[in-house]
Amino acid sequence: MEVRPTAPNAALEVARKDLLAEARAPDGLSLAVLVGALVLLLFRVAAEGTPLPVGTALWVALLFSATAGLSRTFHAEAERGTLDLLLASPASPAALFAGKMLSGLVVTLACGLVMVAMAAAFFGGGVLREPLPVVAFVVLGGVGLAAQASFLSALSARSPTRAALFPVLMIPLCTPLLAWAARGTVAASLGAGFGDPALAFDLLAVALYDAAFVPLNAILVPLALRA
Amino acid sequence: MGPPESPKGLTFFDVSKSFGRFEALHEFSLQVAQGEVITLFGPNGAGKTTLLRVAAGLSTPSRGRVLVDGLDAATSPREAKRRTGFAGDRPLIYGELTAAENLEFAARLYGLSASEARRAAGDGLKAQGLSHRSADPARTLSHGMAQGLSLARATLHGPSVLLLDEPFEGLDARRSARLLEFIRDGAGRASRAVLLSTHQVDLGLAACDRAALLDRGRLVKVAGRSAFDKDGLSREIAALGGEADGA
Repeated sequence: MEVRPTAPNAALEVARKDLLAEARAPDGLSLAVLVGALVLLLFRVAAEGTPLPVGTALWVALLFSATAGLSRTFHAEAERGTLDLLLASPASPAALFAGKMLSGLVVTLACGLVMVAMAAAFFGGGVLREPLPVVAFVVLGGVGLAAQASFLSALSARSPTRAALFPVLMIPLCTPLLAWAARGTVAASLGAGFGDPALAFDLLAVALYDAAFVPLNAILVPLALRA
Repeated sequence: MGPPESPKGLTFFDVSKSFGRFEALHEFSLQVAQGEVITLFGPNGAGKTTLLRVAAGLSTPSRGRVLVDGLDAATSPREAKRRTGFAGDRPLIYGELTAAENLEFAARLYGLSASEARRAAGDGLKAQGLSHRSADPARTLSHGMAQGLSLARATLHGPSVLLLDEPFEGLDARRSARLLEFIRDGAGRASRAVLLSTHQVDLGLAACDRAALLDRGRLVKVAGRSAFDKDGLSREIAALGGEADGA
């Protein structure tokens, strides 16, 4: 039997397996949505009677939900021993990373949709005043969050303190992304469109963040997974 | 030890592995020829699992070379892994997926097409007597069944090197006998080099052509099965500071 795994195939198989498992036992998504909803609720209660930039609340919620929901991409594999299955296969570490990132992105985007809807419900419809830029920020920001979460999950998977280590690494690394995405989403909620130079700069900054970290993490992940 | 006479099979050439200042393997050399089964014995901490993990590409040797069918695992890791099957001491399976889905996923990772993966999964389940549980979530399988599934996963791509870490652990007599039969006489036996580790002296000796005794990362003794007897080997392991099951 001639077998020739290619990176895209292996990545898609890992993503498909993760999403199938997530659909049957939605631990990651439910935790992400729960944490995000709690953050939004806290912002809503704290901001009672005062104007609040809803984009900020949305992105803080998304960062915490991604931190809670995506840490397990490689952690769960390490805990049940199946990381050995993946690493003993001929699939490259970069393909494994790509698969994990892809499934993480789907979870992040699903969570982002719920967060946007909840933000609109909690804070009024301002966040949807210019929906297309908000969607663009959620998609591009989601790519960055999923890329960092997948890489850092791989990096910390073998550490006995992985549960604590992951957020310590994730939150600072994602802070620039959060700042640009939040500022752009705030601008969109105030009516700025793609033609607005400040919003366009923030969108470009988020895209460049993705363009830098996705390949960089794919290059570094073999070192992260090396034993 | 010089270069192997035949490139087929698994060869360790002066392999050392250190974890910080602790040396888990020290200049270990051994060849497992095509069609041969070698069982590793030794007390806990002897380096058996480390050796198997190095052979599986899960751990990088600090020094030395591992050859799989003549391919250097350091320079051709994907080709070497493609020819290797590994089953650990825990069943490496996904509880949320069905038994068949677990095998199909693994087969796809090894590059089998969707139809080949389905066929290989069906064959693997049949070989392990698990066809009737193919659609059940893997988390509902007993430990012995899960180990059977893990073994099916390790062999479904037709590896020329099979690595089994404590494969008899937790198996009842019937499943142990089935596993023993598979190792000794299973499909592909003649074209496969098998390296396994176990604490169960009787089963380990029954499975192998040669046995190797390790202690503190060093190869103490390697000889044909007939050179060992169960009680003597158990005593040797105990003298090295370990306990052997089945003694």
